[in-house]
Amino acid sequence: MNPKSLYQRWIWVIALALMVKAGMMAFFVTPPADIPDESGHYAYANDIANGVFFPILGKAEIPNNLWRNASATAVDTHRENYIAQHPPLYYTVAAIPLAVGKALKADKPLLARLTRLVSAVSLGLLVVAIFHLQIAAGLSARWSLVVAPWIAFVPMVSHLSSGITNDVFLFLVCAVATLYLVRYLQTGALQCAYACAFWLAAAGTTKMTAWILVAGGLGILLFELRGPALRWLRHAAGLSVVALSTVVWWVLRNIHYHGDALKISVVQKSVNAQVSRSTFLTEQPLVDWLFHHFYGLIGFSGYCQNERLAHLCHGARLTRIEGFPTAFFAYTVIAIALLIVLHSAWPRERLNVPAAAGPRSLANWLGQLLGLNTTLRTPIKLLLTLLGVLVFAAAAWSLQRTPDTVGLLALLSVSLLLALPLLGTPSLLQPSAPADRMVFYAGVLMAAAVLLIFNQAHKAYLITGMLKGVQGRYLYPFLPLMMAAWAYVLSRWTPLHKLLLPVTLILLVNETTAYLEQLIPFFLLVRI
Amino acid sequence: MNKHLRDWVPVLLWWVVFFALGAAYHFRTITNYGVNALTGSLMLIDAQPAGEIVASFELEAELLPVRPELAEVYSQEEVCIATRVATYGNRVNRGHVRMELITRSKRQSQLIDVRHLRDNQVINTCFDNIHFQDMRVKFDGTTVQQPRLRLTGEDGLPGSAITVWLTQTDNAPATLLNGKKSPAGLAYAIGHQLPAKPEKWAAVLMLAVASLLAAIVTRAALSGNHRRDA
Repeated sequence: MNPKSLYQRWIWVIALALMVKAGMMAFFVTPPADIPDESGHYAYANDIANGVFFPILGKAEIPNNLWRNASATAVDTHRENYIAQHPPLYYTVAAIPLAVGKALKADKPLLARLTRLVSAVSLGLLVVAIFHLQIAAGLSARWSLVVAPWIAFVPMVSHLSSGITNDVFLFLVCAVATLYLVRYLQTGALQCAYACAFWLAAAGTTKMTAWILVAGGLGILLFELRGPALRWLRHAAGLSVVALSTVVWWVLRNIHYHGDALKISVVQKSVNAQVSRSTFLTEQPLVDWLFHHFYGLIGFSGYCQNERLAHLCHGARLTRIEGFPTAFFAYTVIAIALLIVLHSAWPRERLNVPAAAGPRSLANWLGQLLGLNTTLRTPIKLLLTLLGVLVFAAAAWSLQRTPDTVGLLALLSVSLLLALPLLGTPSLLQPSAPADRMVFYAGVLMAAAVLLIFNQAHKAYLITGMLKGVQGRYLYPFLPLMMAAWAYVLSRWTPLHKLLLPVTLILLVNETTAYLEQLIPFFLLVRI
Repeated sequence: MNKHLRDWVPVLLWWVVFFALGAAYHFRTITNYGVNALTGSLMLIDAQPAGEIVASFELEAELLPVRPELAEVYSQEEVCIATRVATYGNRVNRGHVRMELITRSKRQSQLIDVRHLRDNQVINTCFDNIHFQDMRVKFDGTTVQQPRLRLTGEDGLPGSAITVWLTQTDNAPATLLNGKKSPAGLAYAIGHQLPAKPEKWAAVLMLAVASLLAAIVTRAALSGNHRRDA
């Protein structure tokens, strides 16, 4: 058998195994409502399954007895659906198994678990998408098979894949969009550009967080779009219409119902404090939280399972994964960040494309324009590299208030990634292969995402006086392009391939151990 | 041999190896699933170890009362106590620790073998003779007598004995350490046994899936030695 087709079969076995595991967790391990805001997400899917398309923010409610068959004496009160409202693609898909279950007269606990299966299936498909994405970026099928499941070994990802939430589904949609983006960069095939635009539109109608990816992805498509001016204009318009269609629809809907294009929540907001961004950055453990919450912040309100004791259930009960698993993950992330940055600053086997031979695109035009001026190129490269180092140093310095080694490693990783756009900018200053520019694009989008999270967290801090909204899962839309960049760099640093198997096994053991030794006992321990 | 079979036999062998290793490591934890915490805290804040639980060691903690609503709902269920042990850097430990629960009308002790305990592990000890209805606070007109937990060393020796964590959370219990009042209280929780059969089977299945994933990636990574990479 062709080895490549063998690996393609194995990745489907891996995907199936991950679906089974996540599905089994959805049925027997993760308590009902124990995924962040799961009741709110479930209520939206439930509304659609009941024929309400699409519930209006402010009017939508969370039924009190959503999760269990209420006893005869239970009071069925409703409360406002408080969670942020995102566009409806995920909820529509999640409503399908729910509607089927309702048609078959399934009871409430089973209905909820059937709805959870959308995330479980998404996880398996996500790993397949990443496998193909990394192959498209240049990594061999064998090493793509070894590396692709890494994301499924992050406990937060496996936790979310066992619940009703749009995060893993969004991750999958963004990975498919990125797959076509990378294929377009590598081949220039126009159908890949349109496929990318289509999936960007799908991401745009899943969660507003992905709108940055929609804008960034479309920007890259247009920057890399090849051909004469008229053809360029025609396809630029076509790609823009496709990619932005759902975003424009949702914006118009928001204006129609709420008079606010970006209306997302019913929670009333008023600023209570005046704290500058720099003070906020130095006084709050932003990066530490971002990192720890990316790896594993498990639990929510699922501890409350006894109807007679419902009056004792206030707030969420959560646990963080600490110790060796988190530390090892931090070491892995910083190694990846360092490798990408090193490759950007000192490329190995960079595939320079002669300007005259390259296809016509804004990217190549810019590279040709700047690449011709050899006297300017070197000082500009030096200046940008210096700026990159300064950004890294400044970020690391301003974020120095971290409690432990993991926090220190986390801030180094984030600081490196923030510096990446500047370090990678030289790839735009000379004729280069699109794959080289992909590393730069990944850095720009990731830096934009981190800065957006920082900005939103600062806003939330001004309103509540507490550090809120620092969730690693908000980075999911931007990770696939970073994974493609990592795969591309990895494909050029072949001696490192020997390390991949041990790293994969350790990540897997850590995730399994976290569940068996900490998380399942935690779910049982806090239950009332 | 059939080509498909030739590709899958090594995967199956690796699967068996990984599953056996995982099962050996996690078996005790999985079989002990099923206790929850109705009160107390196992959080470690400004934590410190209580000192090696050797033969002369004695710790006594006054347990905080369980909320009346909870005690009423679970009044007929046996009481379990969770504590967090520490093993001084994963060394091999030996000996036994006696845990005694004393209420206003009953007392019962359990002997704990420390050989297989891991660092920071939460251990659950259930007392089949003591129920939540026995955990009520006793008030004799002048003093309040709360249920107490005593930990004593049976045969632990310095260098191979375990310890338990003390913590400084708001609800840490008043704790006497070898007769003297300790600034930190025992990290503990009071709970009851839960039927955890689904969780136990789910854990075994998770282990099986993880072993399969490990087997496939191991087979794929090692296949490059005799097969041209795709």
